[in-house]
Amino acid sequence: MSDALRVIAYQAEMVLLELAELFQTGPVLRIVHRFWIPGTECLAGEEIWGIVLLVHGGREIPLPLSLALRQLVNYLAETRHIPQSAAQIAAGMCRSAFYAKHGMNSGIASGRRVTRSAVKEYVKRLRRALSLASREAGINLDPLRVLVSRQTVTNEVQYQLRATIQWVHISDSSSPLSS
Amino acid sequence: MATILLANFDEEFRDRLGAFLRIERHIVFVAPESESLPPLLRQSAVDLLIVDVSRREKYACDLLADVGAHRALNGPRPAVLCISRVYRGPRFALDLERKGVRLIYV
Repeated sequence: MSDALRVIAYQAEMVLLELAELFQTGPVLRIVHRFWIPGTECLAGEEIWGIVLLVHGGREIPLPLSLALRQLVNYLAETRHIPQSAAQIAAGMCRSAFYAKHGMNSGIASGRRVTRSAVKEYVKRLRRALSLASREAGINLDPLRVLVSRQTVTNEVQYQLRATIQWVHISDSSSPLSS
Repeated sequence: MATILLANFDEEFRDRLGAFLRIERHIVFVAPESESLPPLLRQSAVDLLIVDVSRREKYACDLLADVGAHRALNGPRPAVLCISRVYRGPRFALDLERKGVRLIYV
């Protein structure tokens, strides 16, 4: 019986650790880039193929996101250490070659032009997608704690993604995953 | 140090597990079988619920449904760990996984 107790105590510690990690660093999101050229990383021309929420046991819950939302998540993930306003996000995405040449390695560009007002709407939709995925995973995360809105001294609101991010690169959809 | 709630265990195993977890410096409560779980979860900040799903299956399912409803309103706490001493097959494990519950066999 003592072996059984030890196994339960060990698993209990593991679950508690995961819970603490979830509260401290947020959930784990995996962003998959397709049309990757070996030897490069997150280079312009790759496509943001999908974004999944990782939960225990290696379970992957895909976030139901359109192209513009996938691009927004990727941008917020890249710049997650600095909260940014909608205007800053729109400017950053317009300026970046990664978003301008999105998917170009496939021969077909699939970019989206993101404006300041669109960012605000996308934030709402992204929170909804996070809520749906976390409910499916059974962890019921508060999306407001994952995509955080930060007040400034004026009425401007800044957004920051509070999550652990993994980028995975694949050369096309049939090849094995490699990071 | 975490607050752990034990539910649906037989008395002997529950006492031994409770003592073992207390040695690990956790605060351990036992869920009274006569009361429903949500008020207890609201009153005390429970971090982890450990449920024995080997016995009284209907009661265990009701408990998990109560916790699921509580978590839908209040976020991911408490985490839930289910323990079974009999093999229940992959479908059972998958059903629990969909509820965000961890299952271990001992």
